[in-house]
Amino acid sequence: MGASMRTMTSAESDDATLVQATLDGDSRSFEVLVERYQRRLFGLVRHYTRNAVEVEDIVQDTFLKAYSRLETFQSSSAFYTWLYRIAVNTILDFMKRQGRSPVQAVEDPELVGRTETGASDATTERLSVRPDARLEREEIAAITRDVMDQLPEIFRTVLVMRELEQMSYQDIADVLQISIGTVESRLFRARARFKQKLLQEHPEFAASEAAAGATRSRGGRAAQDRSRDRETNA
Amino acid sequence: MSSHASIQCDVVQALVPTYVDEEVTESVAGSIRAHLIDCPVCRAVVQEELALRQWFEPTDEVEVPEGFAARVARRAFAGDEGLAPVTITPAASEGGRLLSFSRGLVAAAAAAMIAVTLFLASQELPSVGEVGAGPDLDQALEELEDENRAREAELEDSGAATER
Repeated sequence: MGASMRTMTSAESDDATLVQATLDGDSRSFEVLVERYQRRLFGLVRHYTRNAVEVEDIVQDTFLKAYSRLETFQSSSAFYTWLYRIAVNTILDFMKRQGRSPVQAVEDPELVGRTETGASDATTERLSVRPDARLEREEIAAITRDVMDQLPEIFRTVLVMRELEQMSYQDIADVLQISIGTVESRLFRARARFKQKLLQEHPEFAASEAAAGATRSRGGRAAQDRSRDRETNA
Repeated sequence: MSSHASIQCDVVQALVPTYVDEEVTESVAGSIRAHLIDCPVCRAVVQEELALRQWFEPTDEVEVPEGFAARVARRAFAGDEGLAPVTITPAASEGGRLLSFSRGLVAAAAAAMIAVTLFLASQELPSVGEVGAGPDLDQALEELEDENRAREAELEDSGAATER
């Protein structure tokens, strides 16, 4: 778990030097910063749109915005979390501009414990332990993408950051400017919603009844309660 | 609720997502591991959590267009600030709709006034020169004056009666 009092890593200190050089007018330093993070941003944006031109436009826009606001960057924080924050805002802005998921983008995180039908997020059905035994990697990725596309943005973003970008809770908290308790809670709900949608669309991936029996009534309930408490207290 | 290795199942199950994410401290992770050895129920919860993770493959290596960084740096130093953020226009908001309605109303009233003015102008009314200021007119004006005074007096009386 990340510490709240953070010390600067050598990469971060390097970033701070490049930022200062850029502010002093050295375009090559900014180019190095772009080179350093372009791959990660292309990876992040690709989870929101599969159109290569759109991905490039969003990443470019992110860097241009970062440059124009570079003076506001506080070198006591990590450059890439600051850059990620701009990227996430640029992505959501892009989606609004395109008229995509406008309702989902503003879903209130405090009200999402229940679905539009009034049912709880959590499903008592269990997942098959090994989806990859039946599917190719690309097929899994395609199903995951389809399910993710149906999730509210607030959930999709934490899932992308944690599951696909492998970011720590602390980094997610820094990027989204929320507490770690809220990250945990949001992730819990995001996973529950993902599982629910996945099993709605693909009931064939539910675990067999025999395997499911043991923990059906127990697993997750305590975690869900605790997670909600955390978000309430955050 | 069962207890294994001095930690209870509900506590372990609440910690399973963060445990699987390796976001608990080493001492908590050690207690959970000890509990899992003896508890098949909590092991199944961990398995379920791991099953969900299998749907997410870490990001593959991404292709970045050649010369991207140099292009972006050039544009940045040329003053390109990227697209402006999308803002909700007043017309799209509740207040904006009210403002638009008010503006429409004022425009309609102005158009109606112009139409009335044009209509009156088109009527064959006598011009100022055609109206003679003769004794008939003076008399008519005096009569109007008297009527106005009588009406004002009436209004004053009725106002006083209401106050009483």
